[in-house]
Amino acid sequence: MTDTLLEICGLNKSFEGVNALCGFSCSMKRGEILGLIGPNGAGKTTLFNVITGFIEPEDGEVILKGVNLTNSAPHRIAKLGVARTFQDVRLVRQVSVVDNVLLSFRAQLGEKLGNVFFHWSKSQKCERENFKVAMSLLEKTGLYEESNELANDLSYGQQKLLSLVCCLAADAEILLLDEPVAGTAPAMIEQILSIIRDLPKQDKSVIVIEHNLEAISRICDRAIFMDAGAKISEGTPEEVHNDPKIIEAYLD
Amino acid sequence: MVQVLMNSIVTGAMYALVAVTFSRIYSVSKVLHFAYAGVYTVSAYTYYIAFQATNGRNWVAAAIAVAIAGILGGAIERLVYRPLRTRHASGLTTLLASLGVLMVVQNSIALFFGDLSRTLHSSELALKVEVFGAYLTPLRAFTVVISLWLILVCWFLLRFTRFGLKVRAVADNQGLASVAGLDNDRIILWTTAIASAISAVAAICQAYDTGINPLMGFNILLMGVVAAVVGGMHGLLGASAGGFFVALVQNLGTWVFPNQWQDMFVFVLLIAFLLSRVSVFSATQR
Amino acid sequence: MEYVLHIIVVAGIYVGLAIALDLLIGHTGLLSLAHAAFYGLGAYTSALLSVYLDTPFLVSLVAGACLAILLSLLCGIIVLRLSAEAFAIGTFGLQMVLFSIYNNWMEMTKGPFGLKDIPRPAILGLSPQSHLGFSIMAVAYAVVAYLIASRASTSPFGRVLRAIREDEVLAWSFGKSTHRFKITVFALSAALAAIGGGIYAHYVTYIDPTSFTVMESVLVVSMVIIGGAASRYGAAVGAVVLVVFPELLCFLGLPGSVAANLRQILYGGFLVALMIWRPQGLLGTYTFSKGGIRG
Repeated sequence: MTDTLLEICGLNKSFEGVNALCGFSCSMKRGEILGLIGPNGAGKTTLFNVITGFIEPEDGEVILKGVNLTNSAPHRIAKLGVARTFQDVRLVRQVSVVDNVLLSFRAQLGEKLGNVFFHWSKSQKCERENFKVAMSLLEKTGLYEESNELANDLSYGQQKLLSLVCCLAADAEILLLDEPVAGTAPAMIEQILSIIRDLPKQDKSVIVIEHNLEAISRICDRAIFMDAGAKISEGTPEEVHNDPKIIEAYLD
Repeated sequence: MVQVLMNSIVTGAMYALVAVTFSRIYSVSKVLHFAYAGVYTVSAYTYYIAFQATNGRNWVAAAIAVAIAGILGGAIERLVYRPLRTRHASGLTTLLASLGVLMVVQNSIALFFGDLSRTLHSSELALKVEVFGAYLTPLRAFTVVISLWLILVCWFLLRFTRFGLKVRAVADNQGLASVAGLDNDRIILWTTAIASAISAVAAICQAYDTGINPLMGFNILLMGVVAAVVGGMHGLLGASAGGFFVALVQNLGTWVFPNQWQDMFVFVLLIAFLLSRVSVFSATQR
Repeated sequence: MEYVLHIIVVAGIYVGLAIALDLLIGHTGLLSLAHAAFYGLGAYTSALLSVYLDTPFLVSLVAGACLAILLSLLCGIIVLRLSAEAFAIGTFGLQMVLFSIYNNWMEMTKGPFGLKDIPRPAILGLSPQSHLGFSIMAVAYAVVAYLIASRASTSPFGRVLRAIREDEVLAWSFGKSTHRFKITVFALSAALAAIGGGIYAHYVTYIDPTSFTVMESVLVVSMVIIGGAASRYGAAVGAVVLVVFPELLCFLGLPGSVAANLRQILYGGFLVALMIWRPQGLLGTYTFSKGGIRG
């Protein structure tokens, strides 16, 4: 049993004639932080959407722990242990910070209506435990003070942090983070990066999309450079950075 | 069978006209103008009153009815929908306001004229003529002709006049249109008024055919809305085709099943149609 | 006194209906125009069982709710596959189809002639003739509906509903099978409405399809919106206002049909005014604005 967690083979996807993904393949090992870089429109977010089931590819496969996920529904893939953030920060804005975190927990008894009416005390117990975990997560990540504020009232950087915290609460094995630090202040960048850096220690694996190359080189074990839907370069962040093919891609 | 087809064409023409006018208002203002039914009913009653007041001068009465319909439609747009637009009201809010207006109008008519149907008689118009083995009356023929003619007029207006160009611009993208210097509110107002005025013609035809009652607008609007949804809210051809299609389904229903179930088929059609365009995870492109 | 009790019965039933619908509209963001159809389903089922099979009142009531659950699950599976806008139109179609069944299935529902002689039960040993028993029942129904809705909405289940309301894509990304949630709340809402229908049928002892039209659905939607969607007591307040307010007209001593029309006129006018000047409703904080929820 190899420690390849995620395997992506030959993905093809085009939108109205534009090739978003062109025979893209890569693989990811358990416990690694993989960076995904490339110019706008390279297909990075499309790749995330295909992996998480929001988009169906025309060809190719996504295999997670030996299970073929291609064409599965997004919520099924999420239940298998994949969590993601979105490029446009998605949160339930009219609801409090802690409620957003609580939403992400996976096994919640109280989500079944039957339990709500017939096993109320057990559901409440589960909820209380989740609440404790949620609050400790918020404390560890610096959002404790804001726990009762509406998600909408947070600053942009805090919202990005919150969506990361929600992924942590989901206790997923794989986290797909789409531009987790873009547009945030340096202090917040530090905070978010340090959280991501610690994830392999908790037996989690991460793919990060970022334009911030410095951030990538600081936290990623490996990086992949994408352009026009294809993999242009792959290796450690330094190797990729120095690859002449990249300069060509940017100049095109 | 020919009778069924013939009936479908007549009813279909009316549904088509309703669908076309209703969907034009929607495309320009994004409002589901259910109060349309009220305007429709008012125009029929106006014709009735004017007809009696002028001692049977039907063209004069028609002109009055059409004018009143246009004015009323415009007034509703100006006094109810425009303020809602200014306040960025949601579709649901506007829909409820529209229904509120409908209730006021419909019940006012019932208050003053009673709930029962009244009829308009014209012996020449009711003369039955046999065509291809089915019965046709001059009234029904007239209905088809005038409805189709009015739809063509709409098409012409939209396609070949400056006003039509402005209407299409606003329908396409309100924000862009106003940035380009168009007075959205005026265009919407005129579109609503004209569409309401046109609908009066269908109302008058219906008045002669089956009489007038406070619910006539509501009943035909239901069919018109199904027609517009099925045919597409954005094209004249679609809405018209939808109108004929709905009428056909309704009449085929009477042919196959006992009379009263016909309407149910129309709504089953609606649901089936909506389902056929479904993709389960539709919000995937982000 | 009997008159006041009558108002309490009507108000109680509508409060329950509105609370049930608020679960769909307010908490999940699903506009359903089929509520009256399920209300009617409960009424007809309960009435038919009592009239033809002589079943006791409570059994009829529960049977009505069960049938509503079954039917709503079936319909829900179909209609909940649609996007939000199409869903509203779909429930409109559903309402019209069910109404057509009530109005045309002469063998069962007697169509426009309606069902009469529905037995009025003695509640808590009180005389069936008096309205007191039913007013207690109606209030109990409203309270139970409130408790059920309250429990559902404050639970994790409710949390997912609100996530669906605001951003269904987000809910998927956390593994929520949103389709299942929507069907469940749809069925719950329908069941509560059906129970109200059963109470109504046995109270008025005669039902016909005109009580279960699309405009009736619109009436309950208005109660929810006027009171304030997703607010704690909004649906209840909306229901009470729309039931009691027109009744005040009765004191003007107008003839029946005039009063009925005048009531609708005032109600329509009130609705328009509120939508223009206070669209979030009397107690509400959320408006369904263009582009989602806004607080």
